Amino acid sequence: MSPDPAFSGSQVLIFDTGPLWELILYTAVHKLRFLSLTPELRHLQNDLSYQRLSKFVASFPRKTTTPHVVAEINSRIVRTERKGHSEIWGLVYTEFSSMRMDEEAMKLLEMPQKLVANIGAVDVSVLKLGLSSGQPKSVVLSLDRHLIAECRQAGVNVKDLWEVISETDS
Amino acid sequence: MAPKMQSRRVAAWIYVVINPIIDSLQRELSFLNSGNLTWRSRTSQCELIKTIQEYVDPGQWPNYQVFVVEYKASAFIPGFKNHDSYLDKVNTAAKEVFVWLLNSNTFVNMFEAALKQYESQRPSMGVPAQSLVDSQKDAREETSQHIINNTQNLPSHYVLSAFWNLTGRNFLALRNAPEFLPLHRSKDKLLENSAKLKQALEHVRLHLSRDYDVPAAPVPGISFNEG
Repeated sequence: MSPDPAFSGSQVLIFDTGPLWELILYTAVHKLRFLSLTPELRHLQNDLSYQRLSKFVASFPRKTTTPHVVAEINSRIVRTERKGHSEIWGLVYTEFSSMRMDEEAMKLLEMPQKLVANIGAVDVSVLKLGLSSGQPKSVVLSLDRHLIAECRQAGVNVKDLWEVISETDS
Repeated sequence: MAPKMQSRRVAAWIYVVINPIIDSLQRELSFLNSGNLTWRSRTSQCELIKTIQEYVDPGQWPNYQVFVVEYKASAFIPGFKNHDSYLDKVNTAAKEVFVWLLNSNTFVNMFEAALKQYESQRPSMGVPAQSLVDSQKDAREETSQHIINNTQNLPSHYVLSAFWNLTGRNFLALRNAPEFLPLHRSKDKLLENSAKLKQALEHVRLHLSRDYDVPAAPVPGISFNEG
């Protein structure tokens, strides 16, 4: 994958829920054979997409997210078959520890109420993290168009998952 | 006269007990055949190989327990107990190997040499490769875990990826050390037992399906209301 000049020198990747959930699901379905989760996997449809995302994530020395994103991952796990919850949580722990994922708390009362009402507390937590972690050194990775638009408007570097997985190798 | 066994009860056994166990054993066999124990040092357990009861949704444990009682004389019930006992041995042996590796001069020296090689090649590797100098302890533990799990390759976004993909093959040679023998033996016993157990459960499912005219998997639109 060719390096994106806009992000050269970026140090911190901030995960929104969508791309993180896709990474976890891909491993669950394709490497661990949890085939019942296949319909949940919407974006990483083949190994090439997975490799592109994996390489993109690897290009950042630091990865972080917010507890709000973890809570949203929890709600997605709850939606799946109960018998597999323990295995999926195992995968989440493995992904987090293998990536050395960091987490940074954002208090609700420190988030603008109007914005929370508009795009939700999870998205605002990610946006605030992008604003607070010293641009242009950080990049938000999302597939949520509302969050992507808010990030762009606020001057936060943001990358759409679709751009990552559709980029051609140089 | 005892009431006739109803197909609803048999359907429950097939759908919420037998099928989930067969599916899980199938997954377990594919892991064990490749030597991947899915063992994690943070829990000292195989993450994806569990006791037979854990393969059943906790909400269906009453159905599992009734099934075990009703089939207590069957040949596969000892297979359940053996499975859990071999798994326990695998977990214990994996933990012992993990501790041995971390204290073994052979492994420690090998790790230090590999780290030195990696750090010197890192800038020219052409793939994102993070320095592991400041996280040596974590990297050493993770490396031990990958040796135990016979890991072949790691995805790029794992911090250890470039290191392991460069040096892992050499580390895997440590699996031939005599200290690994108890682990290999326990794994082989678990593998053999799980293969037989899966076959036995498929046999039971076939017979229940035939005898009670219950499909082997739920079919939308077909109910089991007794006449």
